[in-house]
Amino acid sequence: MAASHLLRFENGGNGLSQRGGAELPALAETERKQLVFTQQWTQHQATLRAYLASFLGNSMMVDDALQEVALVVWQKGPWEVDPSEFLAYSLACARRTALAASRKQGDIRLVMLSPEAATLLADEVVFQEQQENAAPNELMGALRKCLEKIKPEHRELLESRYSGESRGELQLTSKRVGKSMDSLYKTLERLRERLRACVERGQNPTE
Amino acid sequence: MTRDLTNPSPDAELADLVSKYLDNRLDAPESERLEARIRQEPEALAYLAKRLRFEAKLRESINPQRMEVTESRRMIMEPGADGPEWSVEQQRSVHIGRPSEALTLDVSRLRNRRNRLLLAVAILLAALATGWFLWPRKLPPPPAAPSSVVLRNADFESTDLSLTPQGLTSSALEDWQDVIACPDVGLVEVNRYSNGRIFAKSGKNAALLRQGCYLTQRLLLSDGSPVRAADGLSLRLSGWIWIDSPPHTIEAALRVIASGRPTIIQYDACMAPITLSKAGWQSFTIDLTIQGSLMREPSWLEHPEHAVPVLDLNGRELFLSIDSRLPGTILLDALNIEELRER
Repeated sequence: MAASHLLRFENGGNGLSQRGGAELPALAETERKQLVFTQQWTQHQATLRAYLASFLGNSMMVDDALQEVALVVWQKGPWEVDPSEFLAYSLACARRTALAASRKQGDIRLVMLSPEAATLLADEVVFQEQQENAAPNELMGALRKCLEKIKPEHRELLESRYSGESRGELQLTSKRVGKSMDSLYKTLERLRERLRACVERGQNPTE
Repeated sequence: MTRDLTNPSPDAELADLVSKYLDNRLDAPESERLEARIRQEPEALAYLAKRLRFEAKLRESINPQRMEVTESRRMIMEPGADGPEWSVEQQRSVHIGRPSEALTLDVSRLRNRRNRLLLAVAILLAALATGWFLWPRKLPPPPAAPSSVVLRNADFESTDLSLTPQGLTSSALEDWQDVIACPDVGLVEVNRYSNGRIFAKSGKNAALLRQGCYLTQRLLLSDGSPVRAADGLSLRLSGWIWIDSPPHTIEAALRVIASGRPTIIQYDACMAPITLSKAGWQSFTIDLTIQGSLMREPSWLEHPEHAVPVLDLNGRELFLSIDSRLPGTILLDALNIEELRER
């Protein structure tokens, strides 16, 4: 299933809810939950994506799993009481979701790492995230600045690659610009290297 | 554990394997080789993890997941023993899906603090409006609003499936089986039917069509009169379709149904394909325009051996049909129709 579906879940709206005196009831609690969730999810989404990608490889499967994790975390997460639990709980959900998804996809001709190797990789991803000195928002900000510096045709290529149907989009781009897929993948790899170097320079400007 | 792997430099083989892994281009031997290397070499593992982390950030920067929170409230005031009592029905939904814009959050704390003030203003405005309406005076008759084409049960919500065991029924497609009904069409409560994998685009239900199925609705104007075939009539149909295996094509048509079962005879006034190239929910818009002479051969005969004449469709009642002729299951939801030209 492609990840273009909107995942929709509802909170606290299961009917006529609150009844008070002449004053309108306060809604602060659900809003607080929503704000905390939004902040935490935004902060940790890239980590969760990398973690899921360790198991799943395919970006559309990762998109689907990410949505599923969001649903479970929103509905059942104990982070409401202690937001610091958010990442730990989300990672636990992500592991279960990813393993279930990779089992489900066993019949599809998709080359993936074995569950043991994937687990090793996922743990390394989390280890590196914990060691990271820069805040996630800082890194994303640096990356966005670097993206602004690249040529429009390269930006377009990246957008093709990172859209939902990346292979299909890249094939269209390949036909349009008259370049082979191999050539596009090589350009993509050079762009990733350049962007990584740019972000690292931004983080360590004296180097 | 101390590891200085912040900038591991890969050899050419590892760089190539990781690049292919990120783009999902590894074949089985290459995958085995990469797996062997990350199991045996901590540097290789660190390099792959680092690339994966950067890849995730790149994806989130270029095509971030969209999160949208929407909220609706219905406020009801009832007289109570100690003065008016307010009850508030609140519904809030969060959408997380593929994005094209930044995260949005609809709720503002400021607005809540202003509730009482806004409420007082609303009551005052309501009182003024009521007074204005009740003030005795001669009013000119309101101009008649032009009739517009309306779809009935366009969101498939007129039947409540909450008590059906499977969230599925094959016989409750109200308004969509006019004159001829397809037995394999179903009405589904999408969330339950898909075990929580997908959700309807409006409300809870959607129409489910398998191969060879169709929806048919007699088109009516808002005043209840039928929509009739005429040269130049142009209707825009829009809505949402879910498919699981692209590519897929369905057909939308404006039809005259001369005879229902068991001897179906149909004439197409116009027909247009809707081509779907990706899986999942996607919106569509298609214009159905009737042009030129309306003398038509039949487009569908249940019994082709019967001779059926060419028919002038001009002025005849029109039906909207949506046909799924290819293999696979599709869902339809949140349909809408509008007329593009004055008739």
